[in-house]
Amino acid sequence: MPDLTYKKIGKEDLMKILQEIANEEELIAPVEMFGGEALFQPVKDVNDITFNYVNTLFPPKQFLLPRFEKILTYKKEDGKLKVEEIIEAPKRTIFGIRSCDVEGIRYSEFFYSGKMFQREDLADPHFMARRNNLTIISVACLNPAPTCFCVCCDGGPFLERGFDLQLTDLGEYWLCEVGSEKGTAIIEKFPSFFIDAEEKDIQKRKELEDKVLEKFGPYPAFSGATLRRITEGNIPREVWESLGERCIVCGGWQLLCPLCFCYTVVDIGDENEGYRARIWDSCHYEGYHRLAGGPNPRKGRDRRRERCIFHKFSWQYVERMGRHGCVGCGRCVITCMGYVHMPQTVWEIRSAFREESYKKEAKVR
Amino acid sequence: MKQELLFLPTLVTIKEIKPEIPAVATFRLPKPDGFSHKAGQFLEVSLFGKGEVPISISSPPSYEDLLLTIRNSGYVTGAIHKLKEGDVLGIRGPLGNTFPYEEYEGWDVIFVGGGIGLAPLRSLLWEMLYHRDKFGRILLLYGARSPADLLYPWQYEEFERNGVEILLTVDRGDEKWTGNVGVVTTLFDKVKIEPERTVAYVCGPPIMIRFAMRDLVEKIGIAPHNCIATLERHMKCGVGKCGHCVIAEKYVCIDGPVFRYPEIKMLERYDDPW
Repeated sequence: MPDLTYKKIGKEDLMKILQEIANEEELIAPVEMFGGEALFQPVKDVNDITFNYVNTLFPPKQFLLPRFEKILTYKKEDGKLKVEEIIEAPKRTIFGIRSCDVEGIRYSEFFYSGKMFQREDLADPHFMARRNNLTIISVACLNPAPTCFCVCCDGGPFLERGFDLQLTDLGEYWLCEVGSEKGTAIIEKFPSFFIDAEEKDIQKRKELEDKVLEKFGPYPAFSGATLRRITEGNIPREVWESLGERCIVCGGWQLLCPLCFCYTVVDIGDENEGYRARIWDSCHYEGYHRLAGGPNPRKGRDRRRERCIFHKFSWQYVERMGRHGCVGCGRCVITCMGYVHMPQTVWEIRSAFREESYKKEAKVR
Repeated sequence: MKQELLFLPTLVTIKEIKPEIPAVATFRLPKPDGFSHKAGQFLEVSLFGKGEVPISISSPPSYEDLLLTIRNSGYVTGAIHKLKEGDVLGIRGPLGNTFPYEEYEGWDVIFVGGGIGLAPLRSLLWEMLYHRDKFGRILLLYGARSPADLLYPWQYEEFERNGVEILLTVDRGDEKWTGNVGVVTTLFDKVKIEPERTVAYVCGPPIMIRFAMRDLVEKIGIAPHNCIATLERHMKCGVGKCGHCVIAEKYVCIDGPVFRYPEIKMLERYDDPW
């Protein structure tokens, strides 16, 4: 664990700082919309920011990997084709992001920077430009939602890395943990607002963390056993078939998951003028896997489900990415209509083995 | 590859289009400045307004131009087939890993191809023919659906002149066909090789790769490590970002497309590499 610098800041002062940031660059913060859902939106006036939320409906991944992004334009001028790349990377600060989403950003960054393949020469210029211009001010969770299970997934409720500033609500003050140079830069930019935190503040934060851990709801995902079984590759076919049978292939899980980052590429326009765009994609869609000419190696829903869970929970990926692919934000629990979300999948894989071992024991007897 | 060129294609003009067999044509493109590739790599070919497709390079690295043998099998390749000489294509690459072959100098080489699968093998085959003295026997076992579907028939004579032993087979012969009839694995009974000093390169339809690799190991007795195949997957980015080409934990665009048999066997446990 790196040595963190602890500071604290008054609640009013924080709003002043945020207003300053909003005036200078793009401030992204949760805003109440659509009758009570909190969503990350660009904010001009800090009074719009809501603090009455557990987590936002969408993860903030769209600010790093937009849902729809033009990557290049082409135009035919005097019979000659001109192609230009578009890299859009405004300077941004994101406030109010939860620990699970910070961890999701760290995971995506590890992938898009090419570190997963030890090929940093293949870093994605679009993603990395936006990531380098993004400052993260996260807020630790004190009241998890009933759907949250980040404690099981090493994704919160408090973090030790990945953020630039991590705030904890201490009543009158926010406790700030500085996690990077960008965080230090904020502190140095507004020196009069920040005061050094005392030992009792840090003690209080630890007490709060202990208290939060007791509040978690009924969706545990004990991923260890699942990870082992997926890595061994011997999960009974019936488990996948049962999960695939109930899946309605809406793709909601992948589109809401802060760690999902697959996309598809389309050309929009004719041969003379147009642009190439990339759009979020989901490995649950049949067309995602289809090869040229029509054959599909993962035609069945069960195979697509298996593919997704293998990406999330296999040692092969943990080895390459440094962690498994779930942070326990609970969005899949909210969105999944077929009741095949992550905790349910994990539970079914585990219980399938329990039944198997019961059968085996019965035979021995 | 330079990072700013990761998604930005280089524009090239088609020099020549040579129809090969029904629905297959070879496109001759000039090499952009500073372009160099190795046998087994592929290009992302873009036709603006239609999209991008991964196409393996069929010309050897030492050849002055790039040859891409493209089959008309979908939306983008269908549009590419409608192009004329002088039209502009975008290319990104070279991408992917390469055929290991320098470590096999002095060994015998067996190529097993099926259908359009000869196209990626041709790059390596010609590279070996440019350095013919470094390798022992070179065999080419090649099968196609019918005699009319045999790829590069105009070149077999040149291959033979350079000391390649060619064995052909077709699934269904016609009245003029006098050669072997059957799948490509039926040719394995007709070749006599020393398995301990032979390396095999395989490419073709997935089902053919699967059985050819199995027979090479079990019937002929080549060490699994020395059976090398190149796989194909649908790709969007070609640089390990979009996630379409993944088989278990391997990204075909970065970890592949060339895999050895033990690697593929390992993937088979978790996913369907065929």
